[in-house]
Amino acid sequence: MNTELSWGSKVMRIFGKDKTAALGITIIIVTALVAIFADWLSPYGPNSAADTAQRLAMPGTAGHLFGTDDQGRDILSRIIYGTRTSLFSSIVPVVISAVVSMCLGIIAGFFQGRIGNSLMRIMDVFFAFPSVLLAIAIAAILGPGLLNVCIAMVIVRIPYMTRIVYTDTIQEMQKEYVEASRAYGMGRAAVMFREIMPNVLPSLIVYSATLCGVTIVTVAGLSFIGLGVQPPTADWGLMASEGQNVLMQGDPYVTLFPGLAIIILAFAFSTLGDWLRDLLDPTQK
Amino acid sequence: MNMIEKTDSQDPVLNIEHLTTKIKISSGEVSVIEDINLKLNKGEIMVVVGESGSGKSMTINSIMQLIPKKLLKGYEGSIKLDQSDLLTMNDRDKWKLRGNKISLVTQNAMTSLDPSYRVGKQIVEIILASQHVSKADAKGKTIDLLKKMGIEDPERIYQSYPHQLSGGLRQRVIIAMALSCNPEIIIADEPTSALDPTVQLQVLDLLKDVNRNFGTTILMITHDFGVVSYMADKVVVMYAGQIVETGLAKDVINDPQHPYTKSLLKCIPDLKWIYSNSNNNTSLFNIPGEVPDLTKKITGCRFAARCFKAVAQCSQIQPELKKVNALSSENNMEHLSRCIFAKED
Amino acid sequence: MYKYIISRLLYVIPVLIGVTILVFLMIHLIPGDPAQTILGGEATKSALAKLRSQMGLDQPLIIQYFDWLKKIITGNLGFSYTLHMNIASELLPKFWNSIILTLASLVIAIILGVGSGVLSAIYKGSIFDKVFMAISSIGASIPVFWIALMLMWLLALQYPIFPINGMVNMRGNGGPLDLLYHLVLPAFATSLVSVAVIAQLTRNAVLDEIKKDYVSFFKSFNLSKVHINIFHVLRNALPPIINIIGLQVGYIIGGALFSEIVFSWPGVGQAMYTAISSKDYPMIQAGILLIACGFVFVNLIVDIINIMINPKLHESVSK
Repeated sequence: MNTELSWGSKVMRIFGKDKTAALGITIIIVTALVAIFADWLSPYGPNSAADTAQRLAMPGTAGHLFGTDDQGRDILSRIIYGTRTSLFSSIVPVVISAVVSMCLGIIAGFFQGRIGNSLMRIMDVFFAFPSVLLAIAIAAILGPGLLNVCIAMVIVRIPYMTRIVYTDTIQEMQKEYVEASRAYGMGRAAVMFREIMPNVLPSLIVYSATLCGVTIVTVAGLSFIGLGVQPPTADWGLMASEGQNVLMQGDPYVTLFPGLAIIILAFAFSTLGDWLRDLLDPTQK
Repeated sequence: MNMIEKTDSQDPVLNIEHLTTKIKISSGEVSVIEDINLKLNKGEIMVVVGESGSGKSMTINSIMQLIPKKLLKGYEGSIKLDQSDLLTMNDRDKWKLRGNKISLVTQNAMTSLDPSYRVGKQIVEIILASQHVSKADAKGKTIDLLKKMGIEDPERIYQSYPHQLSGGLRQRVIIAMALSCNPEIIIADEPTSALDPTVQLQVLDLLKDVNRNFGTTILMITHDFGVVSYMADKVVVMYAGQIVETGLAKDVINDPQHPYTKSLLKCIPDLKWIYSNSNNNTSLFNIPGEVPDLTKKITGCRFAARCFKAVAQCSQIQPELKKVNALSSENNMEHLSRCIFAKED
Repeated sequence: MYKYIISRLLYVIPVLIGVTILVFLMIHLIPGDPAQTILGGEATKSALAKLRSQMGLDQPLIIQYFDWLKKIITGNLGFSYTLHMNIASELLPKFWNSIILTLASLVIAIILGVGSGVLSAIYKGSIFDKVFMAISSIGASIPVFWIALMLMWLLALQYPIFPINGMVNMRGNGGPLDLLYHLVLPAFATSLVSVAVIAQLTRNAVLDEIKKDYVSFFKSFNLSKVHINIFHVLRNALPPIINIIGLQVGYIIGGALFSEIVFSWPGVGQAMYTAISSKDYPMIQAGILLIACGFVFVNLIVDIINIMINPKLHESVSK
């Protein structure tokens, strides 16, 4: 219907219509800005606990909007600094696995036959594991740390993303343009990455955005088990986990706020995914 | 098989008077059909004909009370089924009539059966819902019905899923479902438009048989004048939510009074031609222009913009339905036309 | 239909082989000597040598795999050098406890998720629909461990309605009611995310069905709305709903790991948590193998149900 509309006005139109998406995208932009300008925005350093008298201050205490944790560190400041690890550990693994999956999926879909089948059968084995369990297993083998968690997330996401690219590629392969470009004498690699890739990219982008949200939650879970970011780094999952002991004593705030931060950012990514789906592929909805 | 006499001595089975249906739209409301009057006696076949947007579907949706509450603004007038007015009846009573007195044969034979159940079970379900019979009796009745629908191996069809049947067979099953509770009147919504031309004729023949053998009154809508001449006792031509011409089918076909009817008839000169062409019927319309947007106010005749006979007066005064000189001597059905040029009685 | 079920059953074999290979390789992928990894840094040379020959580490990898597989099949899940006990006797009872928690969570997720999804679809646009869908779009992003902690704080500490942890009351005489009482919080915490996801997808699936032609055709008969919604709309929306439930089983199994840790539920998750912090790799390996096999089995059931409810896969009626 709106094919004659320019790309920009199309974006604005959907943006204006979909208030949830507008909210989600705003949250992501604000989070990114907070991560960049954390040093200026944060009232305290992430680990400054000079004031030991201020341990476990309640939210709303002067100077500590969200209160302090059991070491007297300001929770708001740690949440502000936590945007860095959260954004990093959600976006980077997803982007890497998207790139890898794009190659694997297109190759498997293009050559189908023996290469494609055996590649996809290997992927099937990964589907036999609940993804959280697989992430835990890999992270447990590699040992704790942010980098290892990211590697674990990359390995866990690849099968899912590859399958999406693979099924899309197979659909594209049946279309005429692929045959036509082969007939023109275009090389295999050129057909795969110049002709097919732009057509399978949209659904991968949509899925990636959604996966960023899921990944934040999973990474937080790994931190909770002790496999993720190590103390004293400010990380939302770790903070929520560290609040456990205090929570048993009746103070939920150390866990509450970082958890809310995780939920808000994850929610924002999932609305981004929905919005991109409407934008790039209106037929799918 | 006994022929049931078509008589007019009794009260009409379906009597619609001054029916107006209003639908909610973003800018208020719109009357999708306006001042519709229809009278159907027992055993008659009435065909409502018009393009899409003419209001014919809205007419049957009003009769079947299938307009979603969210969309419906309200009705005016009356829809009397055997003397009781559907529009003043409570939901429970209305609901009891469904299937028992009045039932629907839908347009989309391919998609109107539940894909998850064997077709026999679906008919049994309808029978059990309104009749106090045992399951075994319902099954027997179903097989019997399928046989009456001209299906050769009813046992096999009973055990089939919809996706295993052809469109024509599915439409027969749908007609069997509609008949399963012995309704007095069947409303058929373009029952053949989704079918192959050769199958269309078979289904029309089946409906004629049903009308003759069961005495079922049929109200059918179509956009195809070929169907009118093949089936109808009475015809109603609708345009933009109004009746523009109505009368006995032979009168209207032999002596059409409204330019719209004439155009429609010109589109479809010969029934045989339709069935020897596999073209989609919708392409047969070649009247220039489109049905007007009812949400905008129209003064004068609604067809004026597309009419070959239109004069200045047409777009100023809205013509009333007026009686025209009927050809046939039967005077139980007046021939009416909504055109200033119609020859008066 | 049986043709499809049998081929699906046969498909389990290569998947299980793949799973065992992957789990087997786990320990061998860790850089360094597996015996060293298992026994830890302070192990004596003689202990290392003993373990090496015990595990057959001097053998080629493929022989090691088949030896290991033979043991697994006979129910020998290996030996925990941290706990100094047979893993099977430690883990199998816990696996059973995990199944209880997982099944309870699954039942909650299905009842609440499908129920509210159907109601939302039927009353589309109502306040219930809007509020519930807003909640579930956020609910799908909640970390299980966080909601578990919050539920524990609210309903076990602040308002001590439910027990803080454990599976049975150690001092009471137990019984199914006591188990149920201990099950409430962990099961709800585990299922909430899935409730949200299942509800959203059920709503979409039902909305897709509700506008189909056969629904309006059936409405033209005197069948009640409830009857049509249950036996026709919901029946036809089942395949996508069952698919999403199948996918959610994976999330519920993963979520149960966290709930077990928070509520000290004596299951595989908790055992693995302890094993991870003490680097008890044979235990981790066995836990992952058990859960993965369970998941393969659940997926099999889901697929078989899907085959059974799809009339297009039924034998065509003989002429």
